[in-house]
Amino acid sequence: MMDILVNLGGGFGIMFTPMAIFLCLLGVFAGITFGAIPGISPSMAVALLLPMTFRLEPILGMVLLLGAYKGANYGGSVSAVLINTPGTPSAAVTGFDGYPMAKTGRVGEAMGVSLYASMIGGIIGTVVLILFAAPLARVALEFWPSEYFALTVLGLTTVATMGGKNWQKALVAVVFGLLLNTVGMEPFAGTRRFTFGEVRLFEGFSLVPAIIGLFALGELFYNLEHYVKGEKFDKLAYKLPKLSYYLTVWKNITRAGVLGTIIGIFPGAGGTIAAFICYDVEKRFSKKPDEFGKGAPEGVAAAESSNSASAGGALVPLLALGIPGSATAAVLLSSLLVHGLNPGPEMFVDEPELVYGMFASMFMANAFILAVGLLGAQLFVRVTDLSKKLLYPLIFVFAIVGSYAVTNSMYPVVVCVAFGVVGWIFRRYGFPTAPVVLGIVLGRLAEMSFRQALMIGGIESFYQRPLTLIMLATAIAAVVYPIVKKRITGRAAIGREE
Amino acid sequence: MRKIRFLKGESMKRVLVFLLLVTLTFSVFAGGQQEEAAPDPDAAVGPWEPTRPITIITHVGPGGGMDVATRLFVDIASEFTDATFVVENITGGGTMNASRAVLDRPADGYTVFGMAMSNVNSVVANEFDRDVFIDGYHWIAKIQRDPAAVIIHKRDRDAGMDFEGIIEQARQMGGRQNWAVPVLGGNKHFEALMIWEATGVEATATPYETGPLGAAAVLGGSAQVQMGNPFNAAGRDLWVAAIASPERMPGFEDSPTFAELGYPELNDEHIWRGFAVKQGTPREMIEWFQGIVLQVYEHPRWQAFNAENAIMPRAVFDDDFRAIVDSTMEKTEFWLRELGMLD
Repeated sequence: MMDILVNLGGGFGIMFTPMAIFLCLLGVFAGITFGAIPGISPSMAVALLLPMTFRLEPILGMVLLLGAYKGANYGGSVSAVLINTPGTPSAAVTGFDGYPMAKTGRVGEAMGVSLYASMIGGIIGTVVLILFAAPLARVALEFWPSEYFALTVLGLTTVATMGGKNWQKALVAVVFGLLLNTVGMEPFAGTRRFTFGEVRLFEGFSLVPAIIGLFALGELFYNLEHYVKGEKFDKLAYKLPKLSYYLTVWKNITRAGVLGTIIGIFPGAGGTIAAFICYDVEKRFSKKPDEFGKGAPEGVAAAESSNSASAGGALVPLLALGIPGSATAAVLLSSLLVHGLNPGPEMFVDEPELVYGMFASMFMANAFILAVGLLGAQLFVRVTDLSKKLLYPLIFVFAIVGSYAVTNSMYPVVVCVAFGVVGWIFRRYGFPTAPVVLGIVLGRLAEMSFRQALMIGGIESFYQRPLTLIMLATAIAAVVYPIVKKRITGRAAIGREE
Repeated sequence: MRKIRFLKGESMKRVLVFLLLVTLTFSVFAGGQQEEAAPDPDAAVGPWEPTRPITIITHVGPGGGMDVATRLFVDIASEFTDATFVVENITGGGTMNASRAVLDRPADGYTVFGMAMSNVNSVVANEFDRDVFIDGYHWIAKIQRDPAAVIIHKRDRDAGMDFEGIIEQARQMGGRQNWAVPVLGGNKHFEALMIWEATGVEATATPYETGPLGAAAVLGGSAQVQMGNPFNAAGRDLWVAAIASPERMPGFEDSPTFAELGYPELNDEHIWRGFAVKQGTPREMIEWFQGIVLQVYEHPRWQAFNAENAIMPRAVFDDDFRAIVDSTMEKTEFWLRELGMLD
């Protein structure tokens, strides 16, 4: 422990130099800006800055990239809350409650919760990373494909709470999302499925344009259909709440931060799955679960905190084992490799200044996110003040350009618009769109891990490994428990009436 | 449940207006692309000097092997030329989206394909038109050679396991020994098949998508062996039990070559990366670019980056590179047929 503190002190020593502070601030600012643009994911934001690091000292390069990583994770929530256009896939979950809050005039509150949850979640992730990187990395390795499959099943159970009373429609939506994964090249051997000879369908329906379409365009088409000339938004409360307000969601932020970090350490799981699972957990813990999805600040807190914390988690296998836990961590790994640095256990011994400088920079990045976020929020919230005649075309352009940016081609734009129509139809007939995203996010991992597990150990894989069994049992309980509880409560109520 | 009703009146009008807007947007984008496709009349005249940025399109996402190599390449190249390079990642479509994007642009020297062996695999595996996707390119330069490596956990090495031990274990496990490869029907899978054929054993190849995830599988014990590149073992509790290299590699001095182990036929297995341009690109541009490749090849930063990542830098041009491409096609076709993945 003493060693950690001494090394961390050394890390802060590196950070308190003008160049390091400047690069950290630059990274955070660029990250928030890129993150807020739909189509530019955190990994793309970091990659855009990667060439700048080639000529920098390794630690300074990492300061810049980590600032961008953290900033982009927060930036994604800005557009999700304000215009229901998630800047990053994980921010889609932030928008579940953030956007309804903004729509009902609580825009300042939504922005504030998202900002503070992101910052505190980021700190939780960093602290866990510093204290438990090595043991947690070993835990991550113990995750075999059967455990990954069980994790996806656990993730899919969140649909039970997501749908609420409309659980049948939620089920249809999640199955729709899962089936979408069958289009394109299957992940095992690249065999083409439902591509009809069209090369552009080889990659299937990529997540980012699908999310932009489902949420931003779906909402836009729906609003357009119900547009009333001269109609204005509800009276908007722009002001961010006082600090004491955030105490009302501290439990949600903390729980989601810890759980988000843990999910983040498993390579391939990522911030989006973390956000979905943590959102579900908080909804189950809530005394007012019906408010989730309609503008519950607890939902925003859970999504943002877990998403931000998962970034720290993703660095656990990167730094402790040299295995990137996310696409963004892979870009960070590239930067280290270009400088001839191999992350792994030896780096903690051979390059303590670099490792602890990175940790210190993550704390500083969180502080800068708060500063930039507080200043920016005053400006960002004014977006909702625009007249609908101006805002709607802007959202449309934002969505189209964002989709185009994904692969610099028209295909994602077509996907985005097609999903916009799907989102509009879903909205019109009361089908929730969030489970579609869940299906797309989990489908590929579920298929891959299921088939891997079968190849490695056959069907026995799913019941001979205790961790798999526990997770599958938890998933079953997560679905069965609310049903049983509802029946018991129902019978008790009937009994009382009689 | 609400009954499904058709749109009518105002709603219909609004949606139609929006669909019109969508069409207009597509037209604008498509128009922009067509404009980009117009040939440059000055392209083939006089000694070649770039007058605008050169785009290098790669098929991998940010942070991928070719992406990092390309970005470092252009960074070093900036020491030798005033030309501006832009690296563009066009992923998906089994590497074909990037390939199509290159072929859709004019052969004026301002678009270069930063590609790898997997592009050629994809053309063969998906039975794309080779006249277009192979012969449609001039193969400028192979720049990297990434040797094949058989990787195991250091714990197993310390317990006495070596390459022969791996083969013995494979025999004992009767086909259940698990080898981590990125994808079935890919180069690493072929390399594993070649090793099994050469040593007369059977094992299972399981895809883990990437090299680092394959390394994690061996570290975690879900796979016994990784078929990867030496770099997958660097800095981790992993050991290279056999390496495809003419001689032992710096940083991997305790790892024997396949030739040393008695399998010289496996000693040349590797994956490669390089650059290509659309056929018809001015010869002057190709020579100019090859000059840059040679200068970067000799640069200490390029040499150091490759050495640290256990990659052999190369500068193989034109017909010699094309011969490597042809050999890759032959090998891919042979193994895909063996696997029943190609008619």
